[in-house]
Amino acid sequence: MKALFPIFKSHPALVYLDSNATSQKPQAVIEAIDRYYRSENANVHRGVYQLSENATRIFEESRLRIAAYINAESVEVIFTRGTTEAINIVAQSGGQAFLRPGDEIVLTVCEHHSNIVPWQLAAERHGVTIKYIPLTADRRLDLAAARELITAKTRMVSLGHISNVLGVIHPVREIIKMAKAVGALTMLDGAQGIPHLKVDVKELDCDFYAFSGHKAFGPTGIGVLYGKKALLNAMPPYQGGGDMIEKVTLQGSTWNELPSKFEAGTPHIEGVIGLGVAIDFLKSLPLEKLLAHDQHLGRFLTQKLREEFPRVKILVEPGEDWVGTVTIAHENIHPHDLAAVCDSDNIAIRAGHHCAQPLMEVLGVTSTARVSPSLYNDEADIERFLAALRKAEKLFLS
Amino acid sequence: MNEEWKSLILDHYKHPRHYGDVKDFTFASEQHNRTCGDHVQVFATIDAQGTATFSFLGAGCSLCLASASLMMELIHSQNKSGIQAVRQEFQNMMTKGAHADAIDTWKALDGLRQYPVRSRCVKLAWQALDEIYAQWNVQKP
Repeated sequence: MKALFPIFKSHPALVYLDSNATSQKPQAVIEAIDRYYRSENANVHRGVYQLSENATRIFEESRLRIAAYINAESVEVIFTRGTTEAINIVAQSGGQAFLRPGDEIVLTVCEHHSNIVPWQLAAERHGVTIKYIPLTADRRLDLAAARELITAKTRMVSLGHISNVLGVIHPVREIIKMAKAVGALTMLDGAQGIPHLKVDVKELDCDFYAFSGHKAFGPTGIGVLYGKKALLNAMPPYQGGGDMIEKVTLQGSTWNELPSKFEAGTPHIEGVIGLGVAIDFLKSLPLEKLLAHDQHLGRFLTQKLREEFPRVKILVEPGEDWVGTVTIAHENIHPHDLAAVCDSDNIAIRAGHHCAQPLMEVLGVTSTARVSPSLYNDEADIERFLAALRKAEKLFLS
Repeated sequence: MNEEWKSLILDHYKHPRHYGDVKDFTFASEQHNRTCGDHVQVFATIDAQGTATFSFLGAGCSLCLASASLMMELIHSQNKSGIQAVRQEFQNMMTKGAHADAIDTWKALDGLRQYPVRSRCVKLAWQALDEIYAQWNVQKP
């Protein structure tokens, strides 16, 4: 698998264990973007010349393949800058259409800031209250508490498909069922979902699903908002500009149909093309096997840490509902120091609050170190990390 | 980083100078690093002659706490103009590096500059000193 990713040719010694932050990119994605600029570049949806028509065709074919992959209609696939923008569209435009004073939004304590802050802004604007589903002692969502929190007052339930810090796959089907039972809308933050699981939005039965290209082997700056057609039609536009209008007069304007209504301005054309190829790449992968691979590496690391490093606190228990992410806090070594020692040995791990400060508070830490394996990692990479951890202990504990 | 400075930084991290709580301080400042949750609290006690004694508390990485401890060595028992000179020297050092003939404390701080992504860690205690200096300027001790 490593051979498909040119970064490892440029950096043969690199051990990349930060895939929850962003994945490395396969050759095919890089080539598609390169090809677009070398031989296909033109604006889309505008030109009447062949080059533009061809660019539009490649662009829209990407949308068709992405829609087919997640089992959506193509008009339900809105291109965004990423997961963050997708959630902001629903919180702002959806907020305007669906939220009324006195309503409640239900989130969870382990959300990424991008699935908290847009809702806080919307809550303030519409006089809405936010409630958070807590965790159980084994750091799983507390479904009993969720049942209490999701009530007739709930208008929106939004949660991560998979936690970026804990790597836990949330029981989203159960939560969506609870939401549907009270007539609430549902949104899934799929930033970590898309790279690990086969996503079928109809089977999940969520109203909105958001994901980014760059965590799923695609380019940065591109993502998708999936929304049910009727809901997207009921929402006002998010931004105004070219492409999103039907007719503009000096007195006012009317909106284009979906998906253009939510895609103002010249889009991120090479991003969409690259994302289409990344989705082809995902489609070609045995995702279940790869999930087992990542789980194996996570378990391998967890077991080694337990055997040899009593000062390391492991913040999440491995399980079948988990993608192999290992988040740790060392009794005596600050995560930044551990990451710096790793870096001096060409090992990339994440240190910090992982854009999930409320979760850090729940876990009783200010920051953690996170190892997030992917398909290009193997046991030797984990051994390299363990060697760096030994080195850090020698440096800081002696 | 030069091994000599590396060991001096580790020494300051493991055995921070002037570390501890003070009850009757004249000025104090607490600074937080939003990216990692680290925090440093600096206390200044000014005597009748205008000499400041300092101490600090904090939780943070080696760069953050070593920088605070090295700063303590440079500012402890200084008067206002001495502290201003140290602050100025820190600004110069962060942009241009330490003088060739600077004392070890400055050379060790200079070594921390090679981690630009962690400059917030290095600057945290110094930001607390900035705030204390500003308080001192508007308020008589």
